Amino acid sequence: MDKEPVLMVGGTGALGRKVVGELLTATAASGCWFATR
Amino acid sequence: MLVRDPVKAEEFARRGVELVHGDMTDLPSLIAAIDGADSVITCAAGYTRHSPQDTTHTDTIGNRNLVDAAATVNVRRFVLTSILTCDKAPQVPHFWHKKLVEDHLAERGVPYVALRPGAFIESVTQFGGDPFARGRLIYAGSARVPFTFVCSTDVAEYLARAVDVAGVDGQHIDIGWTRPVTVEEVADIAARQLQKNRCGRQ
Repeated sequence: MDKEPVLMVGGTGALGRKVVGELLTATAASGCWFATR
Repeated sequence: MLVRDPVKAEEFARRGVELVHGDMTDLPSLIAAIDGADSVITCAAGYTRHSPQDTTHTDTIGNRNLVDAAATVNVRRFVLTSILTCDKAPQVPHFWHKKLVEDHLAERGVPYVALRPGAFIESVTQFGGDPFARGRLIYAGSARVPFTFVCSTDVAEYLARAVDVAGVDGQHIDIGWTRPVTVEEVADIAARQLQKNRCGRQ
């Protein structure tokens, strides 16, 4: 996996949890950390 | 993911998220945590006081430290969750604190984009459960004051996409529906969508 890690700050809050979910979905779809790279 | 207490984030570790220990009021811990990261997304907010450790120090000292840490390790992009019209509201502390973070990002030369969402519709309408499932919208405030609402799920998607989208460095991007609406209008729209008659008490 070509990792380009993003540091998530505030990820355990209500909004942050959704952002982490988005990042994990993009990671799973693309095989790397971000869907567009 | 930066966490003060890894126990609170175990569910994320199980999903493959790497947890790094740090505290926003401790700059060295942030520099260590951020080193090696390509970019940063922050939704951290102390003013919401969701836990006893949450204070406005997170919004002031903490965010300033986070920007300084990002500058130290030269992150490629910093994605800030800001607030709509924060630059026009010095009398509202948690709004103004976001504006000061935006300013500090620019001063430190950190490549950033600030998303400025309006009021989260879920936050103001979900007292007592999902109003659309229950058929009852409870709101503490004037139902006739218009707000620029936004869905937090949409904001989350935009924050994640902002890590990579081209051509937005240094921008402050307002996020909201196409026009302000009152809670009365939200109730009207929900009633139409749910094919119910609206009745209201104020």
